[in-house]
Amino acid sequence: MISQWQLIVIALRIFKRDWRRGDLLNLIFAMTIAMASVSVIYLIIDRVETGTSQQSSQILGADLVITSPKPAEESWLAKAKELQLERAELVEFASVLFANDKLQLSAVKAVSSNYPLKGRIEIADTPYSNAKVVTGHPDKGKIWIEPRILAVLSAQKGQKLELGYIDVEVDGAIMLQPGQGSTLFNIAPTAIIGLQDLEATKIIQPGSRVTYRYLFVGDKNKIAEFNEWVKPQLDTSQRLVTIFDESPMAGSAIARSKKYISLSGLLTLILLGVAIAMSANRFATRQFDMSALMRCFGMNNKQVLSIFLIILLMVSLVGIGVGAVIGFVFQAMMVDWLAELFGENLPAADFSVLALPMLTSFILLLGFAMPSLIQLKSVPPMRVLRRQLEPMKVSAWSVYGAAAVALFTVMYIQMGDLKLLVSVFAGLLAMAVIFGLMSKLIMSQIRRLTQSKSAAVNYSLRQLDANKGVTLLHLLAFSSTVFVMALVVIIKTELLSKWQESLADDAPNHFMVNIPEAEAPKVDELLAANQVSSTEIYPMVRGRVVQINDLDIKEALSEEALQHNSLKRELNITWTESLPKGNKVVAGDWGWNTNSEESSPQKRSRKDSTLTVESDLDSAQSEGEGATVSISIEDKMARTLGLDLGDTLTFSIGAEKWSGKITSLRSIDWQTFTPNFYIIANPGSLDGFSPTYINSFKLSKENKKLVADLTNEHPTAIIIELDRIFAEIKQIIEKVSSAIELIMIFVVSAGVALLWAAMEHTFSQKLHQSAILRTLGASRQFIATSFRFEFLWLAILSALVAIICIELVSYFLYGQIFDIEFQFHFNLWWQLPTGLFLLMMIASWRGVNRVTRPAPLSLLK
Amino acid sequence: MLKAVNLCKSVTTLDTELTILNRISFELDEGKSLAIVGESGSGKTTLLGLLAGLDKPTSGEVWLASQSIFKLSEEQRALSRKDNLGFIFQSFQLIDGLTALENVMMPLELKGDREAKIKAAAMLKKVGLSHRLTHFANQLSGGEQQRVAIARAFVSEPKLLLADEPTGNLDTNTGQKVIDLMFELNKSSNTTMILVTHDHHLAERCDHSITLSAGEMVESSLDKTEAIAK
Repeated sequence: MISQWQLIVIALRIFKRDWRRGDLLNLIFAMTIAMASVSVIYLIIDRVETGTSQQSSQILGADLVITSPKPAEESWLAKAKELQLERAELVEFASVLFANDKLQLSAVKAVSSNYPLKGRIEIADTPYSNAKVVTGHPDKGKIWIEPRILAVLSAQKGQKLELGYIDVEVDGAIMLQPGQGSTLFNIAPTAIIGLQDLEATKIIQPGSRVTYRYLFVGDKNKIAEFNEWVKPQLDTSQRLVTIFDESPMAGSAIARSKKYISLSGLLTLILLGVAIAMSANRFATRQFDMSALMRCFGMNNKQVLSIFLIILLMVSLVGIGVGAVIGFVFQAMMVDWLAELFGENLPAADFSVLALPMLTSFILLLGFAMPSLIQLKSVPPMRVLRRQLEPMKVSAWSVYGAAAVALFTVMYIQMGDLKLLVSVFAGLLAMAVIFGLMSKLIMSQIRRLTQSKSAAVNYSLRQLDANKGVTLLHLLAFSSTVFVMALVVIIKTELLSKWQESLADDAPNHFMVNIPEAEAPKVDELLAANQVSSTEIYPMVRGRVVQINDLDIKEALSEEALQHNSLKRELNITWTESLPKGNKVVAGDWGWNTNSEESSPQKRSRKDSTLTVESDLDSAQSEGEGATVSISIEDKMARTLGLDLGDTLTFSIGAEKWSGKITSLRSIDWQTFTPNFYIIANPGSLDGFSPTYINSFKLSKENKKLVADLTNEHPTAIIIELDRIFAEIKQIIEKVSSAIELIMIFVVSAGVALLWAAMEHTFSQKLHQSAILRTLGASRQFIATSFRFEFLWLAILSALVAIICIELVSYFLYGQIFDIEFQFHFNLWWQLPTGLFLLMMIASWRGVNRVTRPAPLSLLK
Repeated sequence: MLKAVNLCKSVTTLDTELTILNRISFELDEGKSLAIVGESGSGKTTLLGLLAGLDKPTSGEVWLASQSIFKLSEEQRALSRKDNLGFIFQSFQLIDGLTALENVMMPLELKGDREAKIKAAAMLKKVGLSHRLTHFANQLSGGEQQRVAIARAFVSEPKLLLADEPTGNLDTNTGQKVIDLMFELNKSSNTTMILVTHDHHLAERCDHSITLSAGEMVESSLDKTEAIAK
């Protein structure tokens, strides 16, 4: 009886022998590449995530922020203390500031002395002069205010303002503060006082609308622990503030890049699985003779399998070890090399993140290599006498089943979210089925094509058909590799071009709102005189949604829907003839079917104060009965509120009610820095109300003083300066873009390496064939041509399968995950087959030489 | 037709030079058959390979149809094989995955013969395999595989047919049938044929024979080309 120990010794000997012979190199190579690329991606993800979350913290003012309309529970603060988190507090409320007989409603923040914990406040003595960074709050009895308060109140540094029951002295103008991005349409400008002054103002009374903000910073893991702990305890009025709330632009850039990175990670896993499966298949096939001999020497199935499992374990140890080192060195080199792109240094790599890729690689190896290795235990001992005897083929189900289980496991380890995983996995399975069916269909038709006049063409097609199993494996390997590479590249390109577009140098960085109707042309003139180009100027009426289909919103909507942002505040309603930039009609019809004369129901409606729209959409289009207000609303808002075409929304505008019927739904690209509106009405429909105007424009540093001119000449208008915060957002986006570029480079390199390996795989089988052909008198040229034709077919077929899958998957990903508009990738239809074929040509150069150079006799003997 | 002049082949191992063939010379006329016999390791297959131009000798020459084949490049030798040679191996060497018909079509297709399919099917019929045209190599018995190999060797009407232990992997009965078939085709097509064999009965059926031992030609019923050359 052979002991376990003896099995290990035998396995070790085979391992050593195969290592020397080079048989194991492919499998180890695949494993090493697998481990190296997963390591690189994990390490980069970790570093970039830490880097961007640090940057997010700068914008949030902390690592974690909780807002609440009442003071926080003592237990929360105690828990934070226990976790050694540092804490700052601020109390936010709306109040009026008085000076010089003028008043301005402001968002007042009473902050603790250590505010902000992250990020910075910049204060200038006079607006737009040299600002200095400060921490904490102004001294007792002093206040920092935004420049527009200064302008409205005609105040300056040193002057006293009235705030509640106290007078506070202006100590400077706020030029930058954490969370400035969120103030885009937050009309009230900010004022900051010390928490110690709050009580004296006597503004906070029972029932006052107050927001308490608790800011925390600390160790990454402890912050995460606190987050998990506190989340379930929040009531509906309390929430954890994310980067999205403070800076939707940066938030969505970070969220998209995270999705991208994790998608790349997942796709890489598929690549690696395929690579491992191919190498394992090759390894197993070359071990058939050895297994037959072992069986002849008296080993049973189990022992044979054990030996090869031990070998597999050794392979994984070598692969994981070498791969981890290569991965680590590589990412360090790349990050170092691309340091410029990242602006400042990324946080150091954390070795512990390598545990996951190690486990991942091992599970992949098990799942993808096992089916091939299991064959080895069933190699018939008769093979020693009849070499053509092969082991029973493992059923396709068990091969794909094992691979699927392995993939599912590693994806679960990576994603942790079972629900999301199930849907992603269902999608992947659907893709696998499409891959499989298409490949089968193609394979079934190949032999019919062998009617060419060229023997090389016929031979190449016959070879593909003759080795169906191998061809299918190659088709699968090439197409999935190409699929992964192309998908990673095109999504990257779309994301980056999107961001570049929104961060273009001429993107507006200032908004001017509340421009009185009479002054709108003058604003335009002033801007034009200073060579500042502005976007279209939009009229705007502010209204709050009060009824849906004549039902009060509290009755019409669920508790969850009532939480939607659009219901909590007044919305800006505009009217325009043409669809604004970044808007796309996704349902209904944009063209306003009523002209302004017919559609001035407000003039009538204001007489009887309310207007309800009785007519249906069709009748609204007919003349005479056209007394209908058509409105177009944002699709996501419609989805959340359960609204559809034909529904009526009623708004309260000032003291009036105003209704409109939904005739179209629009998707809005919130990443464009132009005014965007949830609600757009048909032109003329709001004539009865006095609108104000909104404009956006780009001011460079040089003409920044124009802000002061505009403020002085149009004191009631408000200028929202986003240039500073945009600069920060731009930095974040540039950083995540670089990360995405980097990850794309890795995924593509891994793909190319794997394609290379796959090509090598094909040549090992061609050596013998080539010798026979040479004996029959085939020229090198013939052999090379036939191989190249084989690659050409493979390239065309793999690219075809890949492209179809890319179009399907990107259609889903764009819409559901990345929120990008889908377009067909027509260029891919010729780029992929050509690129893949060229790559195969280059990769096969050595292979073709290798199989055609040796004297045929040496191969046949 | 075929002339071997002072063929030598040696290989260098770690520390010694091993002589596989030493000064082999003979001449064979067109349409004749020759058996190369000898013990295992005597250099028979190496000699056959050199005669076919599948490998290069250390020294010496082979003349095929008045052409010194080792003055040709490997590429030109392949072309010469295509035009002049047919090959039958002990282990059949059919191309995996191609059907019997496609295997036989292969040499014709290499020549650009438009009627490859018709000729191949006819040749397979001749060797009694018309019912096996679409079978793959691994679906055929050893005897059938060797008959496909014979069909493949004869289909292009080679001037010289080389066979390496053609019955080595077959039972006596099947081997006999295969040999009969080979000689029949040889006769009908007037092909020059060289066989490597252990089988003395088979050797006796050939017009001539040479015996090798440890790389030396110890017996021959042929003219010594060496002498002629002198």
